[in-house]
Amino acid sequence: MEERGGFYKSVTAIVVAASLVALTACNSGDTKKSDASATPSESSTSSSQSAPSSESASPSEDPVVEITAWDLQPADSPIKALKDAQFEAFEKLHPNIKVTHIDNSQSNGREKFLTAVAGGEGPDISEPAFPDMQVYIQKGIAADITDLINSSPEKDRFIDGSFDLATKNGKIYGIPDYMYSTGLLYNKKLFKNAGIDHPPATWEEFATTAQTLQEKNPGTVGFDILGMDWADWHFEYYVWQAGGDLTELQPDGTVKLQFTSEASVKALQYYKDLKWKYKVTQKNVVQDYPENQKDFYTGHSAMILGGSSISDFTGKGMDPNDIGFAPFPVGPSGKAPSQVGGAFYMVNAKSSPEKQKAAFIYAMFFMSKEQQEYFAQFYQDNGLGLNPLTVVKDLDVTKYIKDVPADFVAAVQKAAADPHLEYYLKSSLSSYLVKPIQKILLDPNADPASELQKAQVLAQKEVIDKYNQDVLSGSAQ
Amino acid sequence: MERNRIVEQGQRKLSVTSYVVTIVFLILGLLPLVWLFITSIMDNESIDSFTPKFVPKVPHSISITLDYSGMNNNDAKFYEKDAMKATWFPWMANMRENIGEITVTGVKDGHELYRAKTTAAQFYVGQPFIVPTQVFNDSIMSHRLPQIEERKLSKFTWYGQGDTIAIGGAKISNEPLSQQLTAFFGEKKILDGKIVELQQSHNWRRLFDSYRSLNFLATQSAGHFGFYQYFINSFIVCVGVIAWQLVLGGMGSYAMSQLVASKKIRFSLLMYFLATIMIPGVSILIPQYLLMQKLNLIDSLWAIMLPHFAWGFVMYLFKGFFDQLPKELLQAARVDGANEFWTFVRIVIPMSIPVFTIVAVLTFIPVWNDFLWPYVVTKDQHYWTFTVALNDLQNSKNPRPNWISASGVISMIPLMIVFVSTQGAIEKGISFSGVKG
Amino acid sequence: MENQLKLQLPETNQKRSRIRKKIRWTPILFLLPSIIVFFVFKYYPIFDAIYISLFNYDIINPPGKFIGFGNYEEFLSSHTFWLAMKNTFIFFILSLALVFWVPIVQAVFLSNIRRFNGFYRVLYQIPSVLPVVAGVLLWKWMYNPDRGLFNYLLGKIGLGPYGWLNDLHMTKLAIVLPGFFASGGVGVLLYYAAIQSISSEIFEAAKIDGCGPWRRIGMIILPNISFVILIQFIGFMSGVLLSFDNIFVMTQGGPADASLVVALMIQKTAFVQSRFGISAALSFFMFIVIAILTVIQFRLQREED
Repeated sequence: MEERGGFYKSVTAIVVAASLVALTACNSGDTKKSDASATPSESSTSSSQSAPSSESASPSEDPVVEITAWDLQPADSPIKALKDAQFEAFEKLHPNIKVTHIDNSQSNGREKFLTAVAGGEGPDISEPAFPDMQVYIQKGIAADITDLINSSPEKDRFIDGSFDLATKNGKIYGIPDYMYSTGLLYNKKLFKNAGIDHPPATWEEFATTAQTLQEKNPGTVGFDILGMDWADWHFEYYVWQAGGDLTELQPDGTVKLQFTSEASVKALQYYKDLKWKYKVTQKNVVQDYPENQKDFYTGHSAMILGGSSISDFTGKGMDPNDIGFAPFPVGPSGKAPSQVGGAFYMVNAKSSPEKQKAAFIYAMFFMSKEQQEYFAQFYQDNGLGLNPLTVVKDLDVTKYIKDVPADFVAAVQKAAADPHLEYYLKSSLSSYLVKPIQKILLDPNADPASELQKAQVLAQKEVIDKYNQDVLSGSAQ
Repeated sequence: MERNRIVEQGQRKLSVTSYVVTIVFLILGLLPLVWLFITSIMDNESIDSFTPKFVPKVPHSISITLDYSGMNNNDAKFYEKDAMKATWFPWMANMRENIGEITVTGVKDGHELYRAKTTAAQFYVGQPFIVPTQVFNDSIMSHRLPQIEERKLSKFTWYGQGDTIAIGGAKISNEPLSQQLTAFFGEKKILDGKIVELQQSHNWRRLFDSYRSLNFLATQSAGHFGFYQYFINSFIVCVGVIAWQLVLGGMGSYAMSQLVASKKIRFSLLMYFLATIMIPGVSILIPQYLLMQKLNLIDSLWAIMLPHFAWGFVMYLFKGFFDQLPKELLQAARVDGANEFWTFVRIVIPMSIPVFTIVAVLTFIPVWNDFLWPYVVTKDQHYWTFTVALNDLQNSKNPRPNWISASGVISMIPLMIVFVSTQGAIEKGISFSGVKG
Repeated sequence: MENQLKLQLPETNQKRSRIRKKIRWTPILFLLPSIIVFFVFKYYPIFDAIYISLFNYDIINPPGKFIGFGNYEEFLSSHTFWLAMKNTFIFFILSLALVFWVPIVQAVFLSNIRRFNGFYRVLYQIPSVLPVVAGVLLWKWMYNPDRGLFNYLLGKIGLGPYGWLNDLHMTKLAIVLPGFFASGGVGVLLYYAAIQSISSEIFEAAKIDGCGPWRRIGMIILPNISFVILIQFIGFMSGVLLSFDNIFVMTQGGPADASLVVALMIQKTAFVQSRFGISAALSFFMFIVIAILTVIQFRLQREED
């Protein structure tokens, strides 16, 4: 049970480590440059041979293992060339592992994934995001890869604590893939027009800044709020800024809802004020996140919340010099943590041991130093703007982010200094929280406290009671 | 006579009302479609504008002439790359300016060297991977050139030493967009050729580039025909389902109607078929999926088709019609020694064209519209139907409203053809089938 | 089975035995493909769904723990389910008020038009050929309160602005409204054909009795096409109760569950929450509801005959 408790504390450690890598890597950058290309392939091969169930000594006699990976890039993806080249490199390195790549980049790929898993046709290797990973571990979809990881010499290359989010009861279920952090994105041009030279630092300042922006830039909105499906995703930041969280993990592994805590109510009241008192949001509050992004890159909205990647916007014609990034404005608690998201490589629990091993080798291939550097170089060459956070110690990110404006990088690192994970059990509770948020944004007479109370009662009854019961009965056995 | 006149008067009032009501309903029904068509030829900036625009603007056509006089390089690739830089980079930097096409003409020592033409259909399909950012330099274009050629995203014609071309003085258009482009070239200094001419005009053909885009879109993931492959898939599925319904569904219903004597069995059979209309499609989504998987049919057009073979309503329609067939005729055929199959083919089918038509049409519409099932059962884009593709287009990272509208317009065409060409038969079918009671 | 099959036979008795042997397999052969596909693609899956609904279904190690009617108890006692039921029936009422009667009215008036009648009938088909997914996307843009066409046009005539999908009280109306605009389609043809098939003697008799053209609509046309209306109503009812695509594409059940219906709940519990057991239980419940309503309809219809 301790592992569960450690779930949260470790995040700070991870991200601090990640940013440190980014900041200090300049010093150690060129130490291993010369043999970089030879090492990873050797280590990958050796890891495959040292894995526990490997019996055959000569690779040519190994039977061919076929695995499926849902990682094919769609034709219009800017990184398709990168991925295809990596697939080819893997094929050369591991002729005994035949990988079928399938494109799952379409909308609602998650549904397709679950349907396939239910049909016993889930991919051998996939890349679920952090909150999904929690669910998949709980549901037994993720394979226990503790032995494979512990016997791999590559384990120590990952930054400290990076496995914790995929660890349950001391067992490891995932390989860290990538990480990002979030903050406030603002349009510098619109700020300049309004005569504002810095991003807002507090809730109050945020509201007045948004009002000024709207006044001085006719036809634009100050802030695009997120009110559609994932409304709780951005809302949780405000709860943190108010000094709380939406759920609380108890020492015994059970979960306690905090929807009605003072912080949650304050946060929702602030949402309500943004919409109805300060009137700084778009009218169509039920639009989804891509539409928020669109408003931002077309200059219709001056501020949105989002991740630390500029390519989402520059790729749509926005001038990189117009994009500002800043830590979230602080709330009543005086704090504004950045949300840390990311993904793991997950091996299918249903796959045969041979396939699981092959899938593991496949995932580790992408995390090898050589491939990570290849990846970073591709981003640099194509001006895609690499995310300044990394999950492996030996990738010197600073070498690859020269095209990203310096103040942007600095702001990302500043935001990442105070990291926070998404609230626990988000995947299961999301739909319950979206409701009060939408209610507040759509109905000027709705009361934040009572709407949250209703949502809490419902979530407690339909999700938490059952979850806690399962946890307690599970730990008793 | 007098009574007739009174009726006549009421009749006239009714007639006028009838025309008015009909025309109002038709206008209401057609207006959204007019809007669909307008947005399909409108630029996305206008569609997304905060004050709606109603008249599409004809996109700008840019023509640039580059002079390479005095350059010794004779490699066509070198010039092609320069032409692509002169096309894709400035377009990306001005991607919201409603540019419809850029033509680059290369000139050397007074002769035409090459001509490169890129249209909006090609640019907006290629933009996410050819120029995904605003970093413009020579090495990026070196990486991208093979992709542009492979996907045919620009048309490049090499003349070597073509017709003579007279280059006058500085012919740079004064319009704002041209000035912006000139400023871009001046600042970035990415070209090897010297800009001697930059003209701006309008080409109405570029209004329809959203339709052409669909042809370039998804050529890799879906197949040779690009987005149109999805329409082809939908069409194949429809044809397959209709073929089954007409042949085997028709034969089954005929047997149920004419060959089973026992009233009880006939009724139970009808109930067996008809009861299935109470089974909601969404209820059996998962079992159906598991079944398709056992049959090893996931990711195939068969998986989309098969569940549609079992439609209670079709059996009901057929039976209603076959029940009214003149029994004497059928019996005469049997007495003549024809077996049941031949009776069906030679006598029943020719008499049943109206009901066959109506079944075909009533099958076509929902199968063509079907969304949830094909969405769940296909992962591979080769087997997507267009509804799945349309939903994906809406949710994609590169949502372009005029593409969505254009594919909406295209998706109406097959049904429209079906309706217009079979109108008479449908109406006959309706009045013959048992539905009217 | 085949012993029970009594076949339609020629009346000529002397040939009876010979022909009987010859044709007794034919109906079975004719019917077999249909019987098989209906079993495989309808009956087997629904029984499978019932089976799944009795388990706390575990997608990794199916079927998981047997819990009897636990899933049914759970959803029947959940607030969300009753909200979805309520929404479903509000949708039904709204569609009845806005959509169902439209093709009847259209057909009645169409039948009074002589000139270009065929042309109008074709025009009526056009709005209905736009696929639902495409139509819904179009309407979603038009409703957008920031940049949509609808508020802009209504503003020109002094109405609005309305929230449409941004107004909890208007969401359902906004979802049903496109149906009003595109309600022509095959329905119009069906009613039109039914009206045409009313024998002209009835009309003549009514004329002679002094029944004017307006009264004839109420006294003759509507009663004579009531059976078609009933049949259409059955299809309409199950169509609305199970409508999924339009809501899924328009709002996905939101905002704040204002458009959540049972069909959407079935999809969400299965594919978003991966609780297949409860999803199957909901599916079976929906099947029962539709079945009961259909049987009632058929009963009424039989009484009418």
